[in-house]
Amino acid sequence: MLRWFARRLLLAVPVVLGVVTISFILMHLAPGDPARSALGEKADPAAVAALRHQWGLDKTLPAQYVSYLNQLLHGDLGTSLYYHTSITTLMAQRLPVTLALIVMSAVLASLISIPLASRSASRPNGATSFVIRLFNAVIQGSPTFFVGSMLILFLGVRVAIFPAGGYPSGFGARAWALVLPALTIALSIVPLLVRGLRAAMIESLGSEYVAFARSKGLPESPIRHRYVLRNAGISGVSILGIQVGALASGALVIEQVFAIPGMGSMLMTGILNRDYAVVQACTLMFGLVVVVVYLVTDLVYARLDPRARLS
Amino acid sequence: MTENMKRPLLAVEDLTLALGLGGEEFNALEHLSFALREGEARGLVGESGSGKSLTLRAILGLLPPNAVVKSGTMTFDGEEFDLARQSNRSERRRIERLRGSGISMIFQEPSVALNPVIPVGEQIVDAVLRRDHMTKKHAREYAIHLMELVGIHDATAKVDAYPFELSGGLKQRVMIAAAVAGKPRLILCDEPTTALDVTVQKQILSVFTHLRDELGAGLLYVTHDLAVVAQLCDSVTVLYSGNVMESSSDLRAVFDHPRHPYTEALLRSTPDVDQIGRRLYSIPGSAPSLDERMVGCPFAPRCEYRQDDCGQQRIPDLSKTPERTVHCLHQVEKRTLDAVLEEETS
Repeated sequence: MLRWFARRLLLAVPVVLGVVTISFILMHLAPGDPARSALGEKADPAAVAALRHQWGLDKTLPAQYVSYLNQLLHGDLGTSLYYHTSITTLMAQRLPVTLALIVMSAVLASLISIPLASRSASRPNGATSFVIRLFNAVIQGSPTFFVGSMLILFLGVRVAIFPAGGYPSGFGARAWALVLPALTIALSIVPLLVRGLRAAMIESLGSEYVAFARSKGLPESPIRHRYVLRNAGISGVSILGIQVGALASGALVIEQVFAIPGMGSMLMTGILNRDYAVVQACTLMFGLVVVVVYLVTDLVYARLDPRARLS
Repeated sequence: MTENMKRPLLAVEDLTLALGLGGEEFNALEHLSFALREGEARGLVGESGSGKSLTLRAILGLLPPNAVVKSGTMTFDGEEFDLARQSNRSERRRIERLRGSGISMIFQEPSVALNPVIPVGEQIVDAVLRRDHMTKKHAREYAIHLMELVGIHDATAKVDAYPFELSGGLKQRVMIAAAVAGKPRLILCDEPTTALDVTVQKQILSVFTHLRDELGAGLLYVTHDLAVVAQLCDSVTVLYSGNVMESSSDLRAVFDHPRHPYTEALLRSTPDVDQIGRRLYSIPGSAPSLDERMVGCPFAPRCEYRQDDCGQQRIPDLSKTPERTVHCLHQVEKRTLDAVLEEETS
């Protein structure tokens, strides 16, 4: 198991290097000159040239790439052109917020999907199953920002259980403030998760190993947990893992709707202000988050399915 | 005769079961009856599609969702169960209570009947562990003991293995160990050696023989292989197209003097090393599919002894002895099977 994980970890290294390279190239392919946009349209060409030199933009692309890698290795993400502060410091404030949001929405998505899928799978043609399918269709058809606004309207304003937006101080208050945005993001992947889990559970319930477990006299509740949920969970984990990319981009939009000061809103301001260094750092971070999540997914998958530990 | 010998351990009576296919219902089992004494091994023989496996699943309440029991009762150890009322929760519960300790079952495909993500030792004892409130340590020892009982040599090393790490024969042994874990009085066997190669088949069969002597459990052994029945069973029930053709508590009597033409045909089409050179008989035509079944004897269209009255009504049991049933109007008379085979050889 340990050796298996070490191998997976080693395989992640080239992926990370790829993410770094692509985020670097993308920013240099983008049109426009950061120095000019920092100084304004009518700036003195000499001043622009001086700034370009200061930021190292007059060097060749490979030379810039090498110094970029060197910076990263020292934990330096560059300086924000807009805030004039170290991006690393900024990121240290913003990244945990977005990570918390993603984790919370993954947890909420599982908490919602597992009972719905179980109910639906135990009586696939029943009335409850129909209602669940209808709910799925409605949610899947609604854009995330709409679902977010509706949740704010009902749970944030009409019945003000949760704050309608903002990010207060204090751990408890912050966690509470993240519930609605996390729920919004979670709902965007719930339909997929329910459908995948439901299909896997129905298959498992009709399988020979469940019939055999019943023939041994094992009661229904351990069969549901140790047999059906365990086996269906394997495909559930893969669906969830793949969808975390979607969760991250969901966080990007939803942080705007709920005025959450996470990485998403940092990226948005970065784009609007042509703050290239910030955009580059955010792209890199989102990429790294996805890489780490895939690693965690593999780890959980291997915990659940002994066959996966072989390869 | 002791009391146990007279009273059957299991009796299935008048079981009629339909399968729903594309909005229509077709009878897959019709008026099926048979009984089994304590410790008896009965072979349930028939071609594929004859309803053998469905019979076993009906007994344990493990039928697929599209199966409907039209009528039928089952008596196990003096207690009666209405198989047609399994949609009723409390009726269903009564059968569920038999599972494991009263009746257990061994499935055909060991590779799909074991949970792929749970170690085999745990699967052997998980049901008993719950029922008897065993400690984890005790349960593990019991699992190892059972694995040794079914002939797994390095049981201590194999107890924590996952199913995918074991061969087909070992997996089948694991399944047998799990089936006997609750000390059942009857074990239903659904072609347990079909998925295995011949040498492993032989080993598994000797496990069954050993277990019968050791545990005294009865066997209801479903197979299409008459050689297996001859080796393992005391009695036999021959099914064709969901109907009992012939049934006897004396296996030898059926093998030596088959009275139903279908039984005779089955025996004639079984290869035998003593008769090398004999052209193997094959029954003309093929078994009817579910939607082709009709009135009268289902075997009539393929039967050599067929007459006009065969297709007119349901054929009752026309045997003159109580230990045998023969559902045939024109039974094979006195000729022994050996005589028939000899005729064919010459």
